[in-house]
Amino acid sequence: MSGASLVAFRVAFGGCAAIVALRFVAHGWVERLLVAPGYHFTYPGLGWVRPLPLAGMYGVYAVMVLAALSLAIGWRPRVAAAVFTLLFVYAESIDVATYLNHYELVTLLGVLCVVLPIPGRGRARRDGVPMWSVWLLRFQLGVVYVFAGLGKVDLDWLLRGEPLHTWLAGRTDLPVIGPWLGAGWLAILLSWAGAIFDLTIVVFLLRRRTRPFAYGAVVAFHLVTGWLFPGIGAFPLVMIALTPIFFEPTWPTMLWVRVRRSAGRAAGDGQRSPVAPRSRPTSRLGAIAIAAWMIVQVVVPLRHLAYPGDVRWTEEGYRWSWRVLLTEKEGATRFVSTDPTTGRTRTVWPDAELAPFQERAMSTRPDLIRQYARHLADVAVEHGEARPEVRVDAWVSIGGRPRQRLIDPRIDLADEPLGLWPARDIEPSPLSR
Amino acid sequence: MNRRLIALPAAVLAMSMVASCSSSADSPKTASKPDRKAVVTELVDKVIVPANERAASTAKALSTAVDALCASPTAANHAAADAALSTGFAAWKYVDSFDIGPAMKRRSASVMSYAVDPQKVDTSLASTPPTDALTVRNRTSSSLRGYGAATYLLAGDPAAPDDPAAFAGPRCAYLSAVVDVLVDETSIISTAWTDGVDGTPAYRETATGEGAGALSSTAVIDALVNMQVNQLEATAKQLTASAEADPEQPADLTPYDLFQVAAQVTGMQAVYGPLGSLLDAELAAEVRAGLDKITAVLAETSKAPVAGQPTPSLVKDLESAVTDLHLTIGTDVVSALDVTISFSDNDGDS
Repeated sequence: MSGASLVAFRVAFGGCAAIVALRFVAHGWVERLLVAPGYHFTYPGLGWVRPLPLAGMYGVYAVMVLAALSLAIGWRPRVAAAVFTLLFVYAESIDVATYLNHYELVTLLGVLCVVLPIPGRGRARRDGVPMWSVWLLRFQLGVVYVFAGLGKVDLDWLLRGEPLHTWLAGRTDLPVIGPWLGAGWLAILLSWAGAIFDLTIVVFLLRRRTRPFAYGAVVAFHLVTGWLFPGIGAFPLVMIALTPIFFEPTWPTMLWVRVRRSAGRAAGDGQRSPVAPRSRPTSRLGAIAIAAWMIVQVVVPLRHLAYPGDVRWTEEGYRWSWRVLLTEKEGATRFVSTDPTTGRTRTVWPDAELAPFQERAMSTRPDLIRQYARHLADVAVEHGEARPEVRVDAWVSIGGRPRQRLIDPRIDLADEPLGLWPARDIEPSPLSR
Repeated sequence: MNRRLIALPAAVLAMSMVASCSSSADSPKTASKPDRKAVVTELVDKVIVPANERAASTAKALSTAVDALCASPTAANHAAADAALSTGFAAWKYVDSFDIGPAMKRRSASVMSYAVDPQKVDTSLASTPPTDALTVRNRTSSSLRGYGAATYLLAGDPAAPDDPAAFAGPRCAYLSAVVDVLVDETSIISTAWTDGVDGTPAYRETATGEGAGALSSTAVIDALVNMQVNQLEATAKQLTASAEADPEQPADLTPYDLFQVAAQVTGMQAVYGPLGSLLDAELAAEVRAGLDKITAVLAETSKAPVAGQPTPSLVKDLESAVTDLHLTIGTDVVSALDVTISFSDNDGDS
């Protein structure tokens, strides 16, 4: 099969990856998010990951950008993808508070760029690629849309129009459409439209007749969301740039032919290119690996079903579940440290140590609250004090509901285990009410 | 195919209308929300601009009262200056609860309301205190000027606090210079809102989304709510530290601080007139009740900055009231208005 669409994907992904990395440098996030904070929230088992000094981190990002560009131009693409992905995973592992869904997508696509037979520079015409490699990328993007859509099949989203209603009401000062954005019916209309878009777009992208319209819808959808919610950063760009993988594998060649024809020039090589080169069959081991990858992509986002309670409230199994822009949560947290020997209590305000983005992330995420409570106890011990009991006064407003306690204030969080087991300190979710 | 293409949006529209009708009965959140620009315009025109004008006029009144006191240091003139100072100081702290725009850009708090250092003021008085506005503005540290220093200076000689004669000498010259800066600064800020200063457009236009460099109403609301959250958190921290302090070493919390809190809360009450219309009735009522509770606790200490330590029970009641309001605004209001806390500029898609 022609590898032209994989080449286009490689170029698009490399470009997006470079932009994602460059935005970290341009916005000063390398320093502010990764190096400056004195404390970092870590993933289970990755507590040893630490940021390098500032110059080192800038070096990491420079290499990341170069690797992404190398991937884009097709120079040693596999090595470039490996370097980029390893460094990106390293940077993203430094602090859980920096987690974003589309960074997770970039990571997974980076891994696929390492393992898939994506042609390098000038090899697209010579080397055929197996059809499954294109389908695996389509599957990966499709998973994001479908799980994002499934997450929207929810009473808050479909009946209350939340959180869109709240978010859109914040944009009523936009020109032309602004006055409409505060309307409740519009929020519900757009909520339904968003859910139907996410749930069906993959089907429409896969059908030849509907594909151009579906891609037009993809572009329009992501441009509008990017305009309305600029905070989602590079996500619209990533999806717009990568979704053409759903087109025929020869689409770049055909496009090139059309461009040359419209320019009044001979089509040249492009006319011959749609002939599919031969490719090697997939080995049994390869087939098992592909199946395993696909199973993981489906099972991991559903792991929240194994936890009690609503994932939007408990956040257990929330990351890597593609629940993109689904929840509006605001929290406030303060800790109460008690010396067990004297019984004396002391209130600890997290902003004394945490950066604002960390405090904001922690205030709605029980696992981070637990992690910080243990850190407070560890620090006390390091200072030669008795290990304190640490309790938390944590309140969260979710989906526009009145705030409610997130964590049981009677439980000593410094004594609670960290890890993947269901937590026992999370208060019941208000979402069913 | 064409039928299907038409049917899909029609179905979406129908479902959304059904959902809208079914949810409107049990959820006030789906009702249309007021226009934010209109809310901000009302806030600016009816609260912020008049408050800044009041801060400027009360500072001028203070200046007149201090001039009278210096010219004729009598008990009556001292009492009049004292009253004028309380009014001016309260007017400034009222403005301070929404010091977006010129006051924020000029860092006016460092000139107007930095915590006073009484020892340094005494030291300065004992040597060569500043006696002109230029020196106070440009060559005097923040802890030696502003309403804090004016309050301390106007309290008189610590050795003989009731002796108006203390205002015949350098104390009064220093006080006059401090007050002149207060007049100057509040006047600049007020003019910056209404007419603009130094070639910049009137901030009223900027804040209401008109003209070049105009702010979005969302940015103004974000700034206001962030300010409230920060101020309440700072107050809550101060009160918590005081409540948890070792009885042998009480924390540094005085009625002087409480006076400022009371004035700030009055400013917040004014803000939630217009801003409350963006909230559900229930939440707006909760915010107003929270503000009223603080006002009630501070009823006695809000009239003027007075000496002495507040009682532990007052501190405890106030801590509880401030913490509750901080939670309400920091979670429910922030969520309801989709405010970006801490002016975070990093991406967020989850």
